[in-house]
Amino acid sequence: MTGPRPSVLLLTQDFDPTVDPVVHALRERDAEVIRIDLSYFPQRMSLTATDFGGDGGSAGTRRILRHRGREADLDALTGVWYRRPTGFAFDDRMGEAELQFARNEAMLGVGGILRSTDCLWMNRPDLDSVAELKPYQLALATRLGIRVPRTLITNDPDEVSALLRDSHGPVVYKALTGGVFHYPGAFPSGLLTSVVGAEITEHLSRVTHTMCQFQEYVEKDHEVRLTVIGNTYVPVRIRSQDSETTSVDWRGNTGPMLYGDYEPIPEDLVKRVQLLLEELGIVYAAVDFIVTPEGEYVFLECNPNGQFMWMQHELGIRFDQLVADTLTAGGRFTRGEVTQVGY
Amino acid sequence: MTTALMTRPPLRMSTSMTDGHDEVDETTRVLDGLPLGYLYAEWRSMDVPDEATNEGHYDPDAQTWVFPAGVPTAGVATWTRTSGSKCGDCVQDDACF
Repeated sequence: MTGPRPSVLLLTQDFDPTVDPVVHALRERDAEVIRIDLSYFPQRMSLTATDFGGDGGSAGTRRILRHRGREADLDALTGVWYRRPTGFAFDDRMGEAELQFARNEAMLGVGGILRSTDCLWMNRPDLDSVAELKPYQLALATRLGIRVPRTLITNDPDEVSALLRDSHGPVVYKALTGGVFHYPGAFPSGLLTSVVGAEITEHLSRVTHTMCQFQEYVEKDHEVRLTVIGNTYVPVRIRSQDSETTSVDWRGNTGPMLYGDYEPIPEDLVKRVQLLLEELGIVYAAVDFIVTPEGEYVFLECNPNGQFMWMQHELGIRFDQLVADTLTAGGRFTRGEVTQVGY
Repeated sequence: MTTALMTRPPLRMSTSMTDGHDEVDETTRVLDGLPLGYLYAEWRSMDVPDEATNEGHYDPDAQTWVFPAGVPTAGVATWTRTSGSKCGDCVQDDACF
């Protein structure tokens, strides 16, 4: 028995090596793949939604995306993967005022038409915008009984000074976003979690410039990058303490990443993470934990658009298949029984 | 649109990993005026293999990027140039966010 051919919309920029293996996996499933970047709109892509021509009700509605001579029926989609699309590209004859109008219209029009599709979204960008609020994540995790590092978020230098004076252990500075910008429009980068030392005393006034996050340094045995794709959990152990470059922040890795053997995360933690993601409303997440020498899991953060394909590359975990399976399953996503996948 | 960050945007736009990056002008920096995060930021040049810096092209029919032979197509070995042709700053494509 064969059902209708799955149809998947991939929203990302042309250069996105994380998406390419998934395109191949979708093709292996005979799925229709529509990969577009928002920069195609409006000059290289058209989008239409109408209920003219019908007799009213949803039966007469058409939502059509046209690009390069192809036509995709958005109401036939089984899944949407919202990755990393760049911004709209408008006619360069417009001035800034006209561009602002065009952007606003496009944001609501394109966003609204896409949002009207009744299928699985991994993840809906409007939900991502709240899910990536790190202070909110910490509050949710705490509410759900997951340990988090003690945290100070402030732009008040006196608060920071008092924390450093009274703290009984090391304190780290950890940005709330992915990195600093070195020029307008740059890719955020170059800012890892750092242990705060004496150097901060002459720079405390810089705390006033924006929000700053400080956390207690939690002693680690190792760390876990938990990739959640739907109801599939892929916990990967990272032996961050085996290298100086990764001991505070494993993103500082400069050589081959050191991995531990596969070990599923405790069932109790699975349940709490499921509740966390249910609350955030997201299908995909990359969740980071410290595991203490005593074996306690400490929640660091949840990345609603975090990367994962590097682990397929290094550990052979078939993330491309997991993502393709999720996007072609059809119907809305429901959080349910979890399967943990090893390597 | 001053309220953009206070609402749930219906679409999220990302920075291009390959285009639109200009070189940084280090001479304009005033240290005290920078947020604290810049104190801990590393702006390091990395030795990135020539063959791994955004070579290739997008194939609109295959809907995938076509890399030259020998260049890894996924994972930490994929490097993304972020700051123009003369600056050595690169980030791993798999930077977390």
